[in-house]
Amino acid sequence: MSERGVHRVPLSVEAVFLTDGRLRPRFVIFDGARYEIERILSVATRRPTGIACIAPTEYRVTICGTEKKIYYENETGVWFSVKEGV
Amino acid sequence: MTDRAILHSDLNAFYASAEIVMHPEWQGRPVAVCGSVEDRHGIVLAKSQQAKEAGVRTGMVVREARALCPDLIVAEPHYDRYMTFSRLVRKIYARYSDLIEPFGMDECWIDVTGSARRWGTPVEIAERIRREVRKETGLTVSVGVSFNKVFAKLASDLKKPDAVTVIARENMKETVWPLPVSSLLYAGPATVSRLERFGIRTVGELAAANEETLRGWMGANAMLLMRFARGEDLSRVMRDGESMPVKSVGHGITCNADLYTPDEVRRVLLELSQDVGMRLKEAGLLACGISVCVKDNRLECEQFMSSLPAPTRSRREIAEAAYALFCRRYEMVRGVRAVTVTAIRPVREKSERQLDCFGDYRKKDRLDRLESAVDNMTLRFGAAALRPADVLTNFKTQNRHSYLSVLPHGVVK
Ligand SMILES: [Mg+2]
Repeated sequence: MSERGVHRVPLSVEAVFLTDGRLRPRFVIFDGARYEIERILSVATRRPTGIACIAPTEYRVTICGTEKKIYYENETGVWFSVKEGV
Repeated sequence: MTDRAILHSDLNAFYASAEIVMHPEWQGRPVAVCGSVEDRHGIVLAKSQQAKEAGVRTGMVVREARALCPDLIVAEPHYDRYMTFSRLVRKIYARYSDLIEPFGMDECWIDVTGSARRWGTPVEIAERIRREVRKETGLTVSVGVSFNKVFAKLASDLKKPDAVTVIARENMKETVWPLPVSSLLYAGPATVSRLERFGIRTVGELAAANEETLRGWMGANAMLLMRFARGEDLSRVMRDGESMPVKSVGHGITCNADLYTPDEVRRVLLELSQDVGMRLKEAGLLACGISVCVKDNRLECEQFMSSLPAPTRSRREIAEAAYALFCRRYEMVRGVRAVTVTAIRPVREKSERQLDCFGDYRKKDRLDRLESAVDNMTLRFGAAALRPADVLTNFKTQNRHSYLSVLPHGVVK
C-alpha cells in the first residue's frame, strides 16, 4: 500500500548487547537458515523513506559478501529489513 | 555582554505528520487528526499541508472539514505515539545543549550560546537539528534562530515546513517590525484588538509607542509586550527538568450542540469549575483571578479576565465569578460552541493573602469546609461521586480538555 510498494519485513536476529550498552547484530535467521553478519559498516538512526516506523537504528552490514541494511526499532523491539516491489 | 543564541524548534503539523510517518501511503494527501471521530461533532486538532490548502482549519468540526475537502483522510489521535516522537526529538536537541525548555509537546527553546565552540554557529546547529530530525524520524521542524526567546519563536513561525529562519539584531527592523502584533508570543486576541483601537497594528508600531502613554492605556502587560517588540526579552531558557511555576489551571469544553441561553452557559461554567477547583487543590494553589474564554459557532473567540475578591479555590466562587464575568462582558449574538475557565495568578496556599474586608468569613469558612468534604469524596470515589445538582442535568458537553499551563520562567511575573 505504501509508495512504490516499499514495505518492512520483520526479521529474526541474533544480537549481542556489549558491556557499554550498544547493540550489535551477529546473525540473521531467514527461511530457516542462519546467515552470519560479517561486518558492520555503519550504525545510524535513520527512518527509511516510505516505511512506517519510529526512528529506527540502521545497521549497514555485509552478509555473504553483499551489503545489506537492517533496522532495529527500539520502541517495539522489532528488527526489520526493507523490501521493494510488491 | 555578548548576545545569547536561542533556537526555537517547532515540529510542523505535529500530530498530522506523526500519523503520516506511521501511514506512509498518506504522504501528499489531505490528512486531519480529529478528536472524537465517531461523533460527528469531533473537531480538527491538526491537519496536513494538503488539508490546509483545501481550507481545513484547526478547530473546525469534522463535518465542515469533509464538506470542504471530500477526500480528507480523518485520523484518530494517538497521544502515546506523539509523546514518543516528542521525546525522541528532544533527544536530538540534547546533543547540542542541556538548556532545553519544552513549550507544549511540539515546541522547544534551546539555548546554544555555549555550544558554538563545539558545534559551529547557531545557524549551523539549527541546520543540523533540522536535517537530523527529518532523517531520523521522518518529521520536519521549523527552527527560529535569534538573540531572545520571543524572536526565536516568531522566527520559527515565518518559514514552514523544514526550514531555518534567522532574526538578528541587524535585520529585526525589516523582518519583525512589519509583522502584525499578533505574531508576538503572549499577544492574545483581546490585547491585539485593544492595541488596534489605539492605532497600533504592527510590531514596529508597538516598539515605537510612547511608554507612558501605553502604560496609561493598557497597563503593565502591554509594557511587557512592548519590550518584546523592541527585542528586549531577557527571559532565560529553563534547563530541562527545572521546575517551572504553574501559571494557570484551566478546563475547557467543546459542546456537542451550541448553547443559546446564559443559563446553559452557567451550567457549563459550573461543571468546568469543578475540575479547576479540584486541580488547584491538588497543586496546593489558590487563584487570585479567573479568565473565561468563549468561542461561538463561527469559532470566533473572546477572552475575559477578572480578579477575584480574595484568593480562592472554591468551585462555587470560581463558577460564580466566571458566570458574572460572562454576563457582564459577553454579548450572546450567536450560539456558543466552546467555553474554557482558567484560574489565573495562582498563589501558594500558605502564602499570605489580602482578605476582603466586607466578606462574610463565617459563611466562607463553612463553605470551605463543605468543599473540602466534597474534595475528599471526589478523591476517594472519582469526579462523578458528588456534584452540585445543577450540573446533573443532561447538558450539551463533551470533548473536555484540561491543562496545566506553565509559562516560560521569568516572562510573566
Ligand atoms: Mg508545531
